Amino acid sequence: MVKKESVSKINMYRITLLRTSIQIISFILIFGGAFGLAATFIVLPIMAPAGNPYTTVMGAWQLMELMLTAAIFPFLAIAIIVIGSLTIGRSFCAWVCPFGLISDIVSYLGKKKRVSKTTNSSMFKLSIYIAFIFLFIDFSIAYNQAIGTSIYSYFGEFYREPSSIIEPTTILFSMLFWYFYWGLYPTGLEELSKLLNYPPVFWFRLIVLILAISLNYYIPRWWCRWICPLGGLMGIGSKYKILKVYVDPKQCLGEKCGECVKVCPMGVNILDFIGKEISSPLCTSCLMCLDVCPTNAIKVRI
Amino acid sequence: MNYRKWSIRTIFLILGIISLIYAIKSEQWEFVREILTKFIEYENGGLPQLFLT
Repeated sequence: MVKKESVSKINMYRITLLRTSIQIISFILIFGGAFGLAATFIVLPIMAPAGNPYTTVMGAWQLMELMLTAAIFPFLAIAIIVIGSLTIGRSFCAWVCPFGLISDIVSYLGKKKRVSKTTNSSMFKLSIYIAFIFLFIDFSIAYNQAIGTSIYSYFGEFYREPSSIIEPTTILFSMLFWYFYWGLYPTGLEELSKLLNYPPVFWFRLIVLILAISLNYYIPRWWCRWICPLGGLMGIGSKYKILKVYVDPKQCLGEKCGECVKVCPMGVNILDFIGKEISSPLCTSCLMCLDVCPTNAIKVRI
Repeated sequence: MNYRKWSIRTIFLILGIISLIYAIKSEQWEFVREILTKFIEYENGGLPQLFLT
């Protein structure tokens, strides 16, 4: 603590500043179509809406769903998720994902509430269940596509990407984008009655989006921790990641300090990993813990 | 050295690399490019059709 008091705040949060800069640059590049960039064939382990015309890269989860529901085995999405999570873990969640940036902005402004580590880790399992429920739905759709049965009536507009009904990035950058693009909003008081005729699914998705963004005020990255299906899948593999964050037992002050636990946006109890690598499936390697550690006990190593 | 961790890592990495080889072989990047360069009506939550009916 003493060591850091003399260091300026900017210097203290240098990795966080670097990360935020990378997040902003990534955000601009992901929606680079708006600045004249052409769509690429790059797939990243992030949530990127394919339905937005300005998106230049593809999210691995979206690709997996789109391929499965088109009855194509998603080798590419599996390769990106497996190789990504085993090498750098969930780093893309912290450094690149556009919804991660939005969550971080809201949580910087918010009042962080501590969630117990048991609740945090058991709620993480919810994201795995959500991922497998959607994968089961996707496989069912793929089977129906393969045998030529029409499933459109069951899933409506969501038959190619069922998880998009609750996926905030898609709701924000795809559904709301088209809502404003087509001018479907009421333009005057006399048109307010239009709102009553909106389909319930629109309101449902809007509520999901509002909750996904606003709850970050109290629980940073709550969506990424507990709901994100890609995060759930990546979390399984990130337990075995090669790039590790390690807590040095000789330098760590333990319970006396606990600065790392206070700042961790994913609510990982880093003190449980003293002398070990942080193998929590929730760790996104954002390195905020490394930034605030007064004794430099937290290190990145292979 | 944690052999259990390294064996799990190796098995999954091999699976990932095999998936990558199959993805390259079946030119799945073309699917990505196609999706990103065309209009996807099923990601819009039924817009605008649901609003106009």
